[in-house]
Amino acid sequence: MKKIIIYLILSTCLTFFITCGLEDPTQPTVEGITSNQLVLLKMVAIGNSLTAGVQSAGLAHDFQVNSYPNLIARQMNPGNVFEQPLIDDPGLSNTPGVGVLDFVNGEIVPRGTYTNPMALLLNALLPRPYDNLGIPGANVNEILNATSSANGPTMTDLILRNPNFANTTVWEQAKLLNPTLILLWVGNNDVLGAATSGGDMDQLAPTAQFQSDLVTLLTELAKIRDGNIGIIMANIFDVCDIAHVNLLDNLIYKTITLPNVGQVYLPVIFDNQFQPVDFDTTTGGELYLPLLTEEGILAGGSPVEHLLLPFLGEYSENGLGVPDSAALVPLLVGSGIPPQMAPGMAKQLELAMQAAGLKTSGIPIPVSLTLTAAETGTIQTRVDELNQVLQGITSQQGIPLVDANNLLQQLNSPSGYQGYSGKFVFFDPANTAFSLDGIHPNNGGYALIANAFIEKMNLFPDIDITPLDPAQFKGQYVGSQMNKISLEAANQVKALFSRSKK
Amino acid sequence: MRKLLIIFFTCLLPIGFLMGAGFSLGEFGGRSAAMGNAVTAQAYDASTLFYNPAGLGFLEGTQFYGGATIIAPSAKFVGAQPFMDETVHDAKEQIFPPVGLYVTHKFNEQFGIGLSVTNPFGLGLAWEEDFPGRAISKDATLQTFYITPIVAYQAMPELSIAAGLDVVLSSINLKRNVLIFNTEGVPSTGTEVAEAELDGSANTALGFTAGIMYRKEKLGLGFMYRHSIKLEADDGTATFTILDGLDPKTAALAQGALQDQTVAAELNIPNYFVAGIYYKLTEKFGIEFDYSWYGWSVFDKIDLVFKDLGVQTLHENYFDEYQLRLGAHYDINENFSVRGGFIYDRTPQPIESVSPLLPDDTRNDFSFGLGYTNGKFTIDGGYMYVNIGERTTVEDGVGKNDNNFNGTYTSHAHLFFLYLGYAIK
Repeated sequence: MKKIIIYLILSTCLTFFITCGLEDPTQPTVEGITSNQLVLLKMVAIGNSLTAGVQSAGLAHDFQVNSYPNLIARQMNPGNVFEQPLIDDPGLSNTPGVGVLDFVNGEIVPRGTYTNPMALLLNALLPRPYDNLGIPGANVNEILNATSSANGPTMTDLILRNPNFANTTVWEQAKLLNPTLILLWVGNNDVLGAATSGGDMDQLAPTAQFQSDLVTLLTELAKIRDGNIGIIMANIFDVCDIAHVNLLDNLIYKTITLPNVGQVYLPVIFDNQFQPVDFDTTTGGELYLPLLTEEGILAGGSPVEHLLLPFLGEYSENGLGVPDSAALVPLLVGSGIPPQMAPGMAKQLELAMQAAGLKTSGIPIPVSLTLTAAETGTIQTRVDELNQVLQGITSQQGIPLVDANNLLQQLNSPSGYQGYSGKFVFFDPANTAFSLDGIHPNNGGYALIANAFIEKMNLFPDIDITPLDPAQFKGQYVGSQMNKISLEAANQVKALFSRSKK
Repeated sequence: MRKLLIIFFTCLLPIGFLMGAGFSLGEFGGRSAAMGNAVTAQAYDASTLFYNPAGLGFLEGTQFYGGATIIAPSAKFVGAQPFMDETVHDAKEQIFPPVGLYVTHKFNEQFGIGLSVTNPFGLGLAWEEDFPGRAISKDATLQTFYITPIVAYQAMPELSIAAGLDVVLSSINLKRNVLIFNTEGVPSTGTEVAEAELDGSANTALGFTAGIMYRKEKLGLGFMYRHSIKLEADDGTATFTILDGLDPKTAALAQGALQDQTVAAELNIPNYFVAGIYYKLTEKFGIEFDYSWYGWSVFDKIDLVFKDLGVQTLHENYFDEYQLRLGAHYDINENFSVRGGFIYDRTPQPIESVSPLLPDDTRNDFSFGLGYTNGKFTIDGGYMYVNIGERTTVEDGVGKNDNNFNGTYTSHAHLFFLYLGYAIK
């Protein structure tokens, strides 16, 4: 009987334990983050120099820490890992061997020189693609297809580091990182070259090609995480309204009456304070001498609307555009001076200009340094077209679109934007949002752009990123009385977006 | 020869997972396991070579004892919100039949020798292909084989001491998927490109064990010690199989980066001691209480040294912990005996290293069994339920796992053991 009881007890125990099923685990919750906030887990930025953080004609680590994606990453979480291809001093520009621009003793000059660009890459051994995949100079087609500097902009090798990454493109490297969020700001280089080249319309991307490339790019990016990815885009600046292009607008322009033409609005000779020089010493009279330009009204074409920043270097160093006596004669005759008096007066004026410290080269400003009203119109029309493409695609795909162009317009308004202006550094060093090249933002400008992206990111459910305080980024150029750009620096800026035909 | 031995033992003695905290195993005798392994102060059969080699001094004649434990473990995982959905992932169903083999011989009143083969440390845990932690571990197997010759000396009729040499053969096999270009500390980033299999046999390692046992008519006292072992596998292989379906460039990247190569691995097996007291309350009923301590802090990491890929370190950072064992037996008559036991086994694993490789937790083990003796023959059988329970890597809302792979695991195991003995006295 005892045995039976024991066996029964043991059998019961055995049955009990064996039938114990394994319970499902209770799902835990990591607090402080919601499913909607997972979109911020891994951010990758794709774009061009504006994404890379270029300032003052090049890439340098002290500029890159203020790239707009890096500012956003820090704002999302100060401990965020956001890897950029950091460039050591003196930085890299598009001029081989020459670093980025700095200001020294009131003059914009290159920071220094280097011999091996790859040696400047501080984190070249990062065993994965960079999170900031902004390639300075890249247009949409190159972001889609370029794998090296041989088929893309100069810095492509440095950023994509192929063939180590199996000759992958920007978007392919982004895909390998498996991001949850992509900041995509492309298209500026599809129009910018036309403006900075002084109107080379071959550098305007055909709208249809731009649209096709953009759709392909977005289609590929949308495949990441089976489409469970956030994308935020920004549109294209009006590249004819950036400081590089508009810095001298109105400042050095005067209305001059020409007998055979009538009243014309022309850029004229100006002093080192960017003030038009009045060569009429008589009371009440005024005489402004127009700058010599290869194109414009005097050449029988559309009026010159913009003089580009690199012109300043040539103007101060070599007197580019400053007429000599020989060039003045037809101008004087054209303005009604009797032909027999014109040579003498021209000589006097030449002496007056030289006395004012001007070099009288008699060489007209080449078409590569001026934009006419017609050229400006053509470029702006293309900017509008491409922005319409961007608007249409992003609207169709539900992608938030940062209106960067509107931000620029506000900067250029008389009241500026959040304490910043769109003026070139010479004219508003304390408040300018542009860096020394007049094309790229400075620290404050990138902070404004970062905030524009943050505003769109905050439209996602549960996302509430604190915007940056733009005022904290001021002071980059305070204390400097800049009014001169060296010829070397000017040429460097000029080279920034000169594109060879590939 | 060493490889042949390993192959032989691998075939015979695949060992299990999760039977003792960390990756220790303790069930190497039918009677002993049924008593919750609380037999350090007893010497009833040749399995005493494992539990306390000094028990050999109290055995008579020549004895053979051996058998197997069928281990059927189960484990589940659910990932932490909001990073993962509510899908519960099951570990693969596996059966492990570790065995204990023993032979003892008493030459005279004082001296005896014995030989045991056991595998007191090991793990095995495999997950399904769609397991979200497959880049950390898909299938892990660590096997150790302790071949232990022992000499015992019975200094007095009540006191025996013994010592033995542990000759340790081992192998390690780890499978996991390879993630490239992931961002450290950020879950679910990078691209999965290959399956890696790391396979190696360690160099023969040497250790030792020793014990002392005191037995009076009703009282038994025992103490045993087993020294730590450093396992070093110098000539392992790392084999990479590129996953199907990758785009050509990604496949090329993977092929370029992941060449088959040699890998060396090194890990430390802890030392431990057990102290026990047995008391025979009646002629038929006896109980034992044991305290055991494991020096798990030596298991701080697993270094994987790849020929081309460099060193990868799996940080474990275990801490020293203890077990409490309680066992009892009741002899129904001269042939039949019934046994029961309980083990409270504290996990040595810090929350940070709880992972798909080994999701450990403090366990409560319940065991019972029957024994039958008829002359020279003995048969011991029984069952143990290992309740590991639920372990999460999320504490106070914070994910603690080193790899940021957070979630909750539940696991348990059923153990069925059967051992046979034959004594020539």
